[in-house]
Amino acid sequence: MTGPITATGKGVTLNKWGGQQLVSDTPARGGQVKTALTSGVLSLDLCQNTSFDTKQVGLLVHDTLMSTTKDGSVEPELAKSMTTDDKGLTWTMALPSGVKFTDGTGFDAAAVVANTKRCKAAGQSTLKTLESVTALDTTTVEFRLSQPWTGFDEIFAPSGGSSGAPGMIASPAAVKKYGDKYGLHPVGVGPYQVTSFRPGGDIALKANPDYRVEGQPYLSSIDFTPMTDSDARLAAVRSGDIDFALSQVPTDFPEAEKAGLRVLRQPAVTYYDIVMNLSRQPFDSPAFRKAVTQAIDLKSLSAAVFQNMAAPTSGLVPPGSPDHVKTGWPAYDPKEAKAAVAELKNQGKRTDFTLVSTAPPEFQKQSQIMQQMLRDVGIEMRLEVAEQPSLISAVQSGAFEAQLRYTSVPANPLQIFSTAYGSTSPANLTKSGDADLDALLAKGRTATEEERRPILQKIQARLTTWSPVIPLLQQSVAYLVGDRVAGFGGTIPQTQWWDGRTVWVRK
Amino acid sequence: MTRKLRSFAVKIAQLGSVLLGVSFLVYLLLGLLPGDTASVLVAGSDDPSPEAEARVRSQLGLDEPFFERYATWLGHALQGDLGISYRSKEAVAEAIGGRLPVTVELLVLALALSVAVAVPLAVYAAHHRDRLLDRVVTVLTFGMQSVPNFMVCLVMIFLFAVTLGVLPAVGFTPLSDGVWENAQSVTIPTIALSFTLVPVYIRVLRNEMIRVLQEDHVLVARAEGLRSRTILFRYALRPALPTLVTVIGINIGTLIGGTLVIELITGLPGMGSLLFTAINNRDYILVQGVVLFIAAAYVVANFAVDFVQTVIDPRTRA
Repeated sequence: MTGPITATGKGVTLNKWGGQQLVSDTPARGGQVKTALTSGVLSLDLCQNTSFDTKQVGLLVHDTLMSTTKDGSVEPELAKSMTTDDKGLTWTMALPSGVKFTDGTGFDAAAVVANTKRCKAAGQSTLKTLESVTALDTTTVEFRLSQPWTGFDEIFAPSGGSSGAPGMIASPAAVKKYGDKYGLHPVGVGPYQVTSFRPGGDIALKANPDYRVEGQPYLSSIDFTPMTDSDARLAAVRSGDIDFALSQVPTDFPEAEKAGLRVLRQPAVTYYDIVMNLSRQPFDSPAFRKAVTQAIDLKSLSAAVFQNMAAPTSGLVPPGSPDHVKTGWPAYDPKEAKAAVAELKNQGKRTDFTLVSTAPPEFQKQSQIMQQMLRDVGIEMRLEVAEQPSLISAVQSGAFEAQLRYTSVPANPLQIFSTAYGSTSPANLTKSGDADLDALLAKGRTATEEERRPILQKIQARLTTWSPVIPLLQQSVAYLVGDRVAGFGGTIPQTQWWDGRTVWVRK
Repeated sequence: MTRKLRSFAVKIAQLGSVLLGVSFLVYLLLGLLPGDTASVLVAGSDDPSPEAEARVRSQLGLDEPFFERYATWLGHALQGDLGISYRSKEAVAEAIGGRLPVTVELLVLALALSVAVAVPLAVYAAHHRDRLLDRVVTVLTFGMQSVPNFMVCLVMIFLFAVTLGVLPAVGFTPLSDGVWENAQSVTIPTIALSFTLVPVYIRVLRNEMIRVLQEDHVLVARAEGLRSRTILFRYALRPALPTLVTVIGINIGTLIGGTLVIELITGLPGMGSLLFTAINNRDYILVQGVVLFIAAAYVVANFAVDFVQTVIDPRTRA
């Protein structure tokens, strides 16, 4: 199960970025699907709210200007092109003509300009270096940055940095009409439009009859119901109350298959890791960080918690990613870890810490098993469980020692690494920085496509030396699909969101 | 009449002061949570910079003195304005109004089912005290109490939705979309909620009935040769009911927010799931409004129970 994803079973093939897709019949138009949200959505304003489910529904409603390919390069989706002639200081985006928002108003350069300004005003970090955005004509937009950035086009793709929201364009007429409450009445150019939305509750969509892609979408409507509990989602698919659901619990996969559901596995873009506060003891010591890394047996951890269905990582770019390189990430070596801990103790340094995490069982099981592994080498790890809001607050303010979390690292993770590990980034939870890494990240911002990969390799090597986090196991992701669904295209490349244009049901 | 009015006025004044205290505590406690509201709101956002924090602090008026903020908030709350959700920009009162009917329906059905099951069983057990069937009921109540309602909910979903396919596993159909569909969608959550209420009601009522059945007026009724059914339901049940009503009153308050886990498992869009979503999204204004509403509902429900007590139990009349 931790091996490569392959085409298995009737009608299951691989999509263009390596995820499993279902094509068990010829596409048919019409029909409704019901599916689950993993949490309640409070607003569908992508400039204000970029939670996982907000983006899933937001993509169906707004579409996206750009998308990311399997190897992490960016290509146009709704936009026709996006280019730069001066190494990323000025960007020109060409848009198609004749596309309409579902409120009947025209989609044009002015809409992209208005949306970009709105997202910047809302504080979107990826737009911080944007100096100006101008409509050159009805189908051309020019973006001027305060400093060159060759990866700027990715912020308009769903995998883009921390949000991708600037690529999902809101109707200026709807924004004007609803003002602050736009998030309750979203209007886009996507394959679907909202028919009803109760914040935190159910969301109903219907097909956009004027969608830009001829013949799509296939479905006439989609109903979403929030189901935070993974057991309830599995039961709901099994009973036929919903047609498919996302699962990040690999131990559920065999049970779902046994019950006759199709388990469509998708490439992992997330892994569990331990983020450490490098500004204080004991994690200010690179030797201690290395000892913790060497004390954790990832294979045993995967076997004990995920029945061997979560692949171990080695380095900050997970194996399987086109950018992954071997960087000498410390392997499991309890003897060396024990010796290092003994040495640190002799020097009078701290070798104990508190690991904080949220309550889900997979987090708690991992924590408890790692606690025992660390105890075996002489490290005392205390466990603390916190609710997500207080945990985020504590970690953000630096009032923590180590946190177990999961993080998303899609292909071409330059932007994510800048945000997470840049010494001046407010989202750098390690509360520390590395001058060499900063220099490489700055170089990466202006790198051409050809220069990008070697720089990323150097960044990985530097991150291995600095080791600001300890990556653990890759999350296994699958969509559990019921009987009624005949076509399911899998996830959008480099994300966990399903592509609503590629789903159809048996008539 | 004047005395009754005075007593009513005193109770209303007591209710008002309790609600005022509750509102202050809700406001104070949320203000005391680790990290101030602005820092928590921006912490998980795309821009957790100090500038963003300052902007949010100013937007929410958090740079004003505490009592000034509380007075403004309370003034608005008294006019039914609980603020605007920071995340959804929906009026908090509107959000509560949209969720309340689901919770109220679930609450009414769960209480009705619980009372309908518990009262006959409790009366029967009390009447046949220490006999086999009383012991069976006692064991049953202990057993039911030891099973958490979310477990009952999951087992019922597996049995009736997944295996038999006769009830939906998740989702809510409003009454306006069909009575039958609505009834189906609330059956599992109603039974799951009742599962923990029934044993409490049985134990409270059985014990109270046993006490009443030993009182003189029951002995007199028996001596006069009244039928057993008349004695049980007319002379024993009625005096035993106030205790049960008190417990039900407490349950009404707690259930308004206490249906959270069941709502999450079954995908019901009620008050519990609204509170959960608000907490998860760190939407403090919404959390504040919902908690205030639940606390107020609890206080008002208990106030209403006091009045019902005076109707069914003349001894409690002032």
